[in-house]
Amino acid sequence: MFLGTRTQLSDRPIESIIAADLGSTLIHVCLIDVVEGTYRFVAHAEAPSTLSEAENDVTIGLRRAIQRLEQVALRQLLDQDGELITPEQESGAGVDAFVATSNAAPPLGCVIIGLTDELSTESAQYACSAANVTVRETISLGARIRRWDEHAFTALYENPPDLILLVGGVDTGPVALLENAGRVLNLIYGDVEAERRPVVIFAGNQEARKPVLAILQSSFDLRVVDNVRPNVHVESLGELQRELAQVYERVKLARLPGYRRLRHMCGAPILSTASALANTLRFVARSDELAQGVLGVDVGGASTYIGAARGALYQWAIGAGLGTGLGLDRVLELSGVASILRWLPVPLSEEEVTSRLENARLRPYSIPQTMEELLLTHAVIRQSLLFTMRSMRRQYWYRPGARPEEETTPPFDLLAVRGGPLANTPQDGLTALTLLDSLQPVGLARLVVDWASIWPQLGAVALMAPAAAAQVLAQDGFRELGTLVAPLGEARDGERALHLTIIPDGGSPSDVDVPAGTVRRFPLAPGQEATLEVRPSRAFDIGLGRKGLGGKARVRGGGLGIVADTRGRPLSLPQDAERRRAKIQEWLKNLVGNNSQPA
Amino acid sequence: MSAITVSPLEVRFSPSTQVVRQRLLPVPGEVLVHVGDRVRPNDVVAQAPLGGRLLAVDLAEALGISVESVSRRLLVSEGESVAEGAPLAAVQRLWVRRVVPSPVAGTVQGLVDGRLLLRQEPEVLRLCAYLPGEVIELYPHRGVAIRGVGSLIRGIWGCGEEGQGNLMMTASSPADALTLEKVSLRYRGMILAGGILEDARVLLRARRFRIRGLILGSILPGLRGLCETYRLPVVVTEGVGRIPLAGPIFELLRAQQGKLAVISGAERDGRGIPEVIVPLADEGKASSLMVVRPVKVGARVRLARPPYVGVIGQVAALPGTPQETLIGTRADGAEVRLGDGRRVFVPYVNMELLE
Repeated sequence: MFLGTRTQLSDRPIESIIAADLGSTLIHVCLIDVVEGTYRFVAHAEAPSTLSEAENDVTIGLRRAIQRLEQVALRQLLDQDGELITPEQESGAGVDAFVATSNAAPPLGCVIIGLTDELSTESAQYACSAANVTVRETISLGARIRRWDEHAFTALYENPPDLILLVGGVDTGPVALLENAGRVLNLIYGDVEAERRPVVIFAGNQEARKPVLAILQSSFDLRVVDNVRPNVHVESLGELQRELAQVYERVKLARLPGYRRLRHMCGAPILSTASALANTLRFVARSDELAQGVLGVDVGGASTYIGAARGALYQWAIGAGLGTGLGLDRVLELSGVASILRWLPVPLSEEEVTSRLENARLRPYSIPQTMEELLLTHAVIRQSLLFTMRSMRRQYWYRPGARPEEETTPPFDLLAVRGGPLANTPQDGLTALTLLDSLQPVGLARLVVDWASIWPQLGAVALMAPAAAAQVLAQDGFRELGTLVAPLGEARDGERALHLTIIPDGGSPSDVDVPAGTVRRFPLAPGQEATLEVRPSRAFDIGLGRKGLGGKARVRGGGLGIVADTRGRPLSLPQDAERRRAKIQEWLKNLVGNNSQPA
Repeated sequence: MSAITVSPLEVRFSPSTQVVRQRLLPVPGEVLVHVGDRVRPNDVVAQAPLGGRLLAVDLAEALGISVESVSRRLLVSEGESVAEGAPLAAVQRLWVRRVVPSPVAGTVQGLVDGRLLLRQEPEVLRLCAYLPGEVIELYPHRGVAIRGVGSLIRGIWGCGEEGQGNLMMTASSPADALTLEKVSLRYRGMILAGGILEDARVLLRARRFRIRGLILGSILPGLRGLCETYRLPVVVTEGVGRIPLAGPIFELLRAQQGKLAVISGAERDGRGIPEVIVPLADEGKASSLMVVRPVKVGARVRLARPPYVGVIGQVAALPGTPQETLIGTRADGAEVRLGDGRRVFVPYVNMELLE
């Protein structure tokens, strides 16, 4: 028996907590405890996930991670039977509480059935892009096809999806096609064992609710939510998105091998990593009073997540199945090798790149050991983020009639970055360049990293011990990389784009010119603050809405200091491969190592 | 506090070990053997009825009539059993009567937009033993566990189903390619072992010549998709690209040439591990295999990521604390002595155990 102890909640306040995040590749555990009256992050450890057939139990990897944590923290956490000791003993052994988050389960496989290719079906696809869902097939029953075809039957029957999303029709619209769809689903799955039948979510015409319920309720696990398109001009995705997140937690997470034991030991519900991270990002945006909000990204082995918190608003997208481990397949499938190759500063053949990526996918726990391999991983990260950012733009930031050059990322005060492949990159400059290339931020933003792999867990801890989550986040949650300055605009390479005046607190001011078409960094040590005055040339807008308009801001230093990106938005890479590689080498050289520009 | 832990590694190869394999039906059925029975690879150990496939017969298209009028031309009704070839619907045009026969024996499920849904008769799934050995456990209505002894090679990638046949080593060195010429008709019914697969035609020929399986060091990236379209069992031991078979695996396969082997390309339930087992007669000496075990000084390991991909080495020291890799990442790992005498630090996550 291992880890069979449910967290005991007594009247005594919770002081020590183990917070775990169980991913498809790695399990991270963090120890939180009260130090001199304040909750602090004490130690972190990790171990490979144990989801493959060899071990097939998520708690085996969790025990290894906790054993490692014992060694790092020099504290007994497990008893002789391998069970977590709770609550914390007089001797200091054990902890008061255990919480967990997870995104280790694969995404929900989904088939969307809609009346047309557009409107409701598009809305359903947007909703899916914000959930851990892979849309396998879209079946349109509208004017173009008018009938269920062979392909539709095969998609539904041969390999039943986890989820069928039935949408279509504005409220008060016709119901016959939706009723017919319900009857067809009954026919297809009539003889299929109940446990293999998909969950059905109905998010269509409200008039069709009753008849569809009557047809499907007895045969399926049926959920009914708001119509995603109550009328042509209105989209309503919130309820569907919440339902999709719940179905993922109920259907996929709950089927993780060892999940029952994991659940038994948790003092709070096991949240999906995405939901828990959203809690943390919302909290950061609120507590730090960030007017322009936080853009958070999480790149993992099998999924990529982007969340934007601004005031009460939270927007997010999930690149289900996109990542640097098991997700490599999907990145390759969506991007093609050439799109990955374009981010490399060294010449590699398509065959070489494909072989390396496929080998990395076959051993998803393995890590790069050479610079070439690391650069390749970062090329994959860029593609994963680009795809997920595309969902964000399409869903939330789309402006009708905007020209491609106007489709930019809105300004954010903070870029918050996490996930093993990014957080474990030893070269901060490479991390920054990858983010600049893929997120393409605009204006002025602080860049921070979840160095301890703790942000999602804090989102879960907050449900049980909000003070602990807030104090740990404030004191230990961030590693500052520095401040980014990224103006909008275009000029010939080498022409002056920005003039920066950096006035460190207690130091002497320095002035620098930054030419167009490059990325440069200027030192400002971690913990140091400064006043930054930015004067753009007439071709650039630093996010104030007018080209040439300058401004002043208080900024913080970090591992990189101040990073200026004058390459314009959207970023355009040279078409010629050799020139492109030379450019990327130059940008890397400017950001990595000791190549900061004297200010 | 627990003793110092070292990340356990997956064992990918063992020349002699006890192997236990569960053989489970996907749906409840009947178990046909008893604990203690000796079984051979082809013996059926359990069976179960499987729901028939669903077919959609496009009657509107076949009869050349509108979707709406199909229901009037039906000769069968919902729930009715039909024999293969029985008329499903017919239309009379002048003196020509056009009839749509049932492509299979089955039950009529219903009519959808001019298509008749037919459920084929249930089939019986027969689950074979796969591993020769002794039945050691019985799971009522689900299956059995079988224990055997053999050499075990666990692949890093595989596809296709299960097979058995005598082993034939086609390569004279671990880096040899498995070329078209090496796939000869005289190897029909055998499992071929070779180094690297570079030529798609090899797969086609192997299937045509009824080769029972391929054991490869590596395959070129473009061939993975093609492999997956065939049912031929393929087990790749090292990875994708041009990586030679690991020396110890090559030597073992060469030494066992001519012996019966079983192969699984592995996507059993989508979670299986591709493997090759060469059953051994002497069951007395083999100990049971721990698929995952802690690494020790002296262990033989295969390195999985560049710059050492495919290199075999021996663990020389276990530092116990995270060390820096060549690019500055800190990771738990071991110092490994390579064949050329160099001693390098390699993260545990980048190595696999060869017994």
